[in-house]
Amino acid sequence: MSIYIIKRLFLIIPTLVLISLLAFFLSRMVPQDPVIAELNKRGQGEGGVDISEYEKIYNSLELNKPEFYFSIVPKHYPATLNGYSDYTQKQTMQRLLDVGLHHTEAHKLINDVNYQSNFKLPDSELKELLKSTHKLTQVTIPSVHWHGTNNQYHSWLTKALKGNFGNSILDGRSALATVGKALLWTIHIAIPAILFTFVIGLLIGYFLARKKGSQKERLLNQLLYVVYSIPVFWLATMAIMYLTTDDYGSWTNIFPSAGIDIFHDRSTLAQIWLNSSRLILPIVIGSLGSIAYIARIMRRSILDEMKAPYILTAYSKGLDHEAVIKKHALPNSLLPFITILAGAIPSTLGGSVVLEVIFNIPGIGRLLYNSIGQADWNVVFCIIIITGIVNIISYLLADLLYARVNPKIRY
Amino acid sequence: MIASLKKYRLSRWQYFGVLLFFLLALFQAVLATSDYVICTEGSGIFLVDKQSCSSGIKGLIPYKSSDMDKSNRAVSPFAQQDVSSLYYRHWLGTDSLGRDVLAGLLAGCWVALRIGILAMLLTIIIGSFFGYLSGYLGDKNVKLNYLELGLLLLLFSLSIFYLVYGSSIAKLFSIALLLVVFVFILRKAGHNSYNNKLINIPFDMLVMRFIEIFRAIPDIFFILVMIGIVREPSITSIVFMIAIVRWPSVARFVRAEIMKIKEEPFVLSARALGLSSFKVFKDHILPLSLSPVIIASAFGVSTAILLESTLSFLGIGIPLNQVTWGSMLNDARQNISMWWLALFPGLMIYFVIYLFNSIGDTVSEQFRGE
Repeated sequence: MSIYIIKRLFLIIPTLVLISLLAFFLSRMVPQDPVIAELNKRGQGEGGVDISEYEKIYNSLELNKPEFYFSIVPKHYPATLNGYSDYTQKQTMQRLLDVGLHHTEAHKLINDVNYQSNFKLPDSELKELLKSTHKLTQVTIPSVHWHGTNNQYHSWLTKALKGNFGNSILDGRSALATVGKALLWTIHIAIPAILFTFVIGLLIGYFLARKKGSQKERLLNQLLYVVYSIPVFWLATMAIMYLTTDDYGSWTNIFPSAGIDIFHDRSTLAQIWLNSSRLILPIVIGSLGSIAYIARIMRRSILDEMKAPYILTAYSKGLDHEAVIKKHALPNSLLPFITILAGAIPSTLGGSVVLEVIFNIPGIGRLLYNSIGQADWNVVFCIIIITGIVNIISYLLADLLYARVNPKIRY
Repeated sequence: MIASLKKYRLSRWQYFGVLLFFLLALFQAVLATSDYVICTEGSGIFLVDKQSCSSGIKGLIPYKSSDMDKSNRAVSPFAQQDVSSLYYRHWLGTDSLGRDVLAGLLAGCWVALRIGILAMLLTIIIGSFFGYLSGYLGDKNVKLNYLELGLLLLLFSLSIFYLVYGSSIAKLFSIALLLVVFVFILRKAGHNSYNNKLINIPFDMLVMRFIEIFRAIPDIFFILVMIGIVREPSITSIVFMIAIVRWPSVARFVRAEIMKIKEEPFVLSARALGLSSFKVFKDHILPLSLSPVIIASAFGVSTAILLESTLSFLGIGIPLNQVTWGSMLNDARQNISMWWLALFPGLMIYFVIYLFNSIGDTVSEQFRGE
């Protein structure tokens, strides 16, 4: 067992590396100039930006370094174009290189004041012009450049490993702290929701399997089917409309209105506790679909288990139907739910976006939604990494638990 | 091959539902229009606006989804409406800009159909490609010697390089090269040799590790980030985003089914008879494995429509001036007293998702022989 655990722990490392790579390269594709964002944060963004000041920040943010440990580029390219802090200069450089000009020649040309006007020409004319004066590369040959640890990904990763994901541009606080606070909210909604879902779902599923073939079973099964396909955001909108207002008669006004009360002087945990009555509706709404899902799988699982040979043995021992289901089929049919329970955490996190936006809960889903809207990218990528880690760990726990409980699995 | 799918029977309401959905979506421009559908007196024949046509056949609903009726803003279906005749009545009310809800529902059909079908097709193509590859090649089926492995890696990285930096001819050439690499690996598969000097390529493990990252990041999180990067998504980019986040689950599903089919007695006996690996795949695995693909397609449509409407509901989906079911629900969220804006679009989303989910379930139950 311990060898299996160690093996599994090692297997999550490549996944974590892949997630960090994905987050890093997505963060480089963001439509926002990090230097301008930095200047805005300091309150210097308005008006013209001094070129030397721009370059200073550009270099201090390590944007002049290459992106990754190595790069494979055509032979006439420089190892990295990131040395050019000026955007138009970088673009022009790229154009010249695309035509086939060697990078030392291209560098001379873009710094030549007399040559500047030629860059306004369209690509084809520029190419003709360059052909007459320079020797252009005809065949692109790859060349590999090794940059060592002096690159953007490496410094980003070392910072992230220390928990430094940069600061939020909105309040200047550390992104990790902001995400941690939001995660606390989400977890306090997720755990009751998951418990509620599993208890109710398993009970309904068990009831359905026991009463298979009866009128009640068919009706309830149909109902579950109907509930299963209801989109959460629609259900939530309707619930807020009908259950939290007096508009449709005061008797429908059961739940407090959406949104939470902010107590600035209290800790996050205290705030969650004080708002617990406002979290009931989102928890119930968020669970309904999964209850239907769990109940259907439970029913299926018990019915599948009832086909096993040992059930026949149990019947031939003289046990009655009730006892066979309860004592023999039920424990075994619970096995797949270990995996499903682990999958519940990622899916609750995913579902948190819609639920928290609608109910105005300051959890991780709403934080992601707002941060993207306000281009607070440090927070966004912090959320991606943290959810990635949380989810991978929950899948890992499920695998280990499954292996522990299921005697069929050997290692 | 297709014959293996003929055994599936959908119920009558499912056929009817799909047909109705397609018809409404395809003919929404004719059903809901302020123009003359067919003009008898004027310049032009088909879909002519009021200025250049005096008489003809009008649309069933005299409003386009984008038409704003200034005198009837945010009116309920039951309220007194400021209209000249019953024909101009807004049967399902209007939104806060005065746009007809019924016309919006029909326009939403067209958006949902396009996104549902296109995203599903793309998802299925990518997902089943990797699913088949992973399931078929497995962990122990591809064994190469050092020379072959080195050569393949070199060819692979060269073709990727020229795909990025090469001229258009070089790009075509590198695609051909990738195909050669691919076919070579496929031909190597299944030639189980017990030569110890060969290196085993755990293809399935590699693909599954890669897919793991998509499982770790919730779909909606990933899509939100991509939308933040694209900033103003179009229908095409939404389709691509849905495919990017959804293909891994299709791949996992198809892979699991292939793994099961591979262990079926008839496949094992076909192998034992000495049939070539490709022939076993073509004649025995492929026909049976089409069913999981069909099941995944049905669920794929509903998932895509659900994701798209979620995005529109959050107000970050396809362009804001385009009316979709999700965008109407978003309007309802902001105007909590306008129940008709929440009820009808929600019902549409619900019915379409229910329809495709139930088709997926029906096929899947029949596939498992229930």
